[in-house]
Amino acid sequence: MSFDFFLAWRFLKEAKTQTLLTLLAITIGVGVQIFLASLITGLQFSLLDATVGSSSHINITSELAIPTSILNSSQPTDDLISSQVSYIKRDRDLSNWQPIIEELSNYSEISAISPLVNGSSFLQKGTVNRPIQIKGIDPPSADKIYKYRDNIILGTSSISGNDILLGRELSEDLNLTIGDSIQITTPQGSQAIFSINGIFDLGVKGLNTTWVLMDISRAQNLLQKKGDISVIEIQISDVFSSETIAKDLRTKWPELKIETWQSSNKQLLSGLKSQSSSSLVIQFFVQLAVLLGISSVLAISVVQKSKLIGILKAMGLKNYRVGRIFLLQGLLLGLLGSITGCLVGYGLIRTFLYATSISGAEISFVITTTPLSYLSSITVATLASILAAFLPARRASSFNPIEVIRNG
Amino acid sequence: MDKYMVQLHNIIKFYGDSVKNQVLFDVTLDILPGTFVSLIGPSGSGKSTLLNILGTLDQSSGGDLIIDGLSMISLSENELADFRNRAMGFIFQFHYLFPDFTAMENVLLPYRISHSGFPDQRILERAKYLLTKVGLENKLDARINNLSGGQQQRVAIARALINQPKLILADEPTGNLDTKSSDQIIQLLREINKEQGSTFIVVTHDRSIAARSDRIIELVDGRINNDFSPQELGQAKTWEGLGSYSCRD
Ligand SMILES: Nc1ncnc2c1ncn2[C@@H]1O[C@H](COP(=O)(O)OP(=O)(O)OP(=O)(O)O)[C@@H](O)[C@H]1O
Ligand SMILES: [Mg+2]
Repeated sequence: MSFDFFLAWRFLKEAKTQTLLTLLAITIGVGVQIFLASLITGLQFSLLDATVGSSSHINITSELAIPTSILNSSQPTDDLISSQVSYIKRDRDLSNWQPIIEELSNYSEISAISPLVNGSSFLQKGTVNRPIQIKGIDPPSADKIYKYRDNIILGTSSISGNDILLGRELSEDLNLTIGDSIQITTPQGSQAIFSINGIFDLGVKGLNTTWVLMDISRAQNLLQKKGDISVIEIQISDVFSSETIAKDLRTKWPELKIETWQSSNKQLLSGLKSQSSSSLVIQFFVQLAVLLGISSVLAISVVQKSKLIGILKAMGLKNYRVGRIFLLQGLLLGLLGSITGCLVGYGLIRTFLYATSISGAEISFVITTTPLSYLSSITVATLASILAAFLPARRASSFNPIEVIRNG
Repeated sequence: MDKYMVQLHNIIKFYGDSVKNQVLFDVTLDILPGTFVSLIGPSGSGKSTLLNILGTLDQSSGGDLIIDGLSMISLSENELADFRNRAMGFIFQFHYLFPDFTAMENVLLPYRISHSGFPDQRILERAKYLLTKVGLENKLDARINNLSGGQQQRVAIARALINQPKLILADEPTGNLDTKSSDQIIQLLREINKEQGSTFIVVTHDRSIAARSDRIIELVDGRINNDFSPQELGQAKTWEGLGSYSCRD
């Protein structure tokens, strides 16, 4: 083996220009591939984080099925009814929710469980009226999902009794500040006076203009829900395992409605998917061009070295070892080229970050690269280079020494 | 069995698939160990073809080839490669050296093919000895490109000897050299033959090589036309006769 390696190395070393150009091609290919991949990954990660980072991944609600029509059959059987009756589905409150929460806390994949009372209402300040969303929360659990405590820009985050929190845009719109009293009126007609204890900025305008956070029991009281809640919100550690967990939960509670973040973000997901696949296509073709380069350079080298290959075989070098010498050249080219490619890729990322920072453009995402991603690039490029060397290697191993020697 | 170094039994050789062109006709031959054999004959008579079959680089179309008691016909391609590496040395008209390697590196190649790792002191000494033997003690680390034609051929000879082969096959080893260089080469080959007792089969058009061998075999149109010992025939007669055996000066 070591002699084959020695020869592979010498062949590469002797064809200096060819070797350097090939290495350059692999370096550029792998560098571009790494840069592109980390750019796309960083972008997608931040998009995803913005979408689901501070919101629920799985919602558990209850729904009520109301039959809308029943067939006028003379003798409707149960079968007939179930197949011919259509239902309207309405969200319904969860009444016996504490056991569900207890059960959920056994899941290690679940990182936050938050019971929530939801309801539309109106907020009045003097004669001005604004539609709002009441969020009755259990502060410690809800904070794990909304992270509102870190985003209080005025006042404190405490909500007890009639103390409430509202968003920056709403407060600016109505010129409200902490200590002010406002009135909330529900669609059912009940009213109450609340006092503003803090103002939050969750970074999303829609939430800042409509959300009003209050204690869960105060919200139940205001919205006349007795002990019921509207929804259990769940966050999980790996957002993409939501469907698996949801499936599990559905078999456990078939009567409940369990939805994942994916079902409400279909468009985003398909966008991400097509972005990923077009980036993969680009990466694939960059790599393919590089591999064709390696293959043709080695094919030329086989021809150039045909006499030496012939004499080596005459001196007793076996065919498979001749092939191996060319596979090893592919391996060496791939390995060295992809290692320098990683350095170039890293350099491109740094340069990109630097360039955007001095141009003043604020990039809203982080580019993350892990040692593992470099390692996998190196592995893929090296394996592919060995593959690219396969045809030249086969050609070299099938050389007949006598042809070479006879033709001088 | 082991009495002979090489035994050929009715070796025949065809070229071509559709139109068969027979190049060797029932060549039968025994060669004793340590013999220095010259293979002569007109151009196209089949000398190279026969030598390549002997070297297991080419396959005969029929007949049996036994080298050192081993039937070559029964060996697989890989076994043949091992056998060549161990027991045979090749010298061609062109040296086929690695141009970017030094003389030492070239000489070590056949050894390194069958020994992994770096060459040990013992084999390095042997390579130096052989290069000294061929008069290149000052060129050990010279690159092949910087050597003259005669020097290159001498490196090729040292390379053929590194594994101490029992059988050395040479196809017109002096064909590319001037008279002075070829004289040196012949002297060298003969010396090695005497010193190491290895068997030499040398295809040649060179009268002076042929005249100095133990045995001359003449091939004409793929058949053995003459097989004699110059010692027995006498120097003068051999020299005179060789003129007609298609040898040039
Ligand atoms: N690969 C081949 N295909 C077809 N015919 C061949 C092939 N190799 C050799 N021949 C033919 O076989 C015959 C013998 O060739 P060979 O090379 O053995 O002759 P030679 O005695 O070595 O001649 P020279 O002295 O010119 O080297 C020639 O007629 C040649 O044309
Ligand atoms: Mg010939």
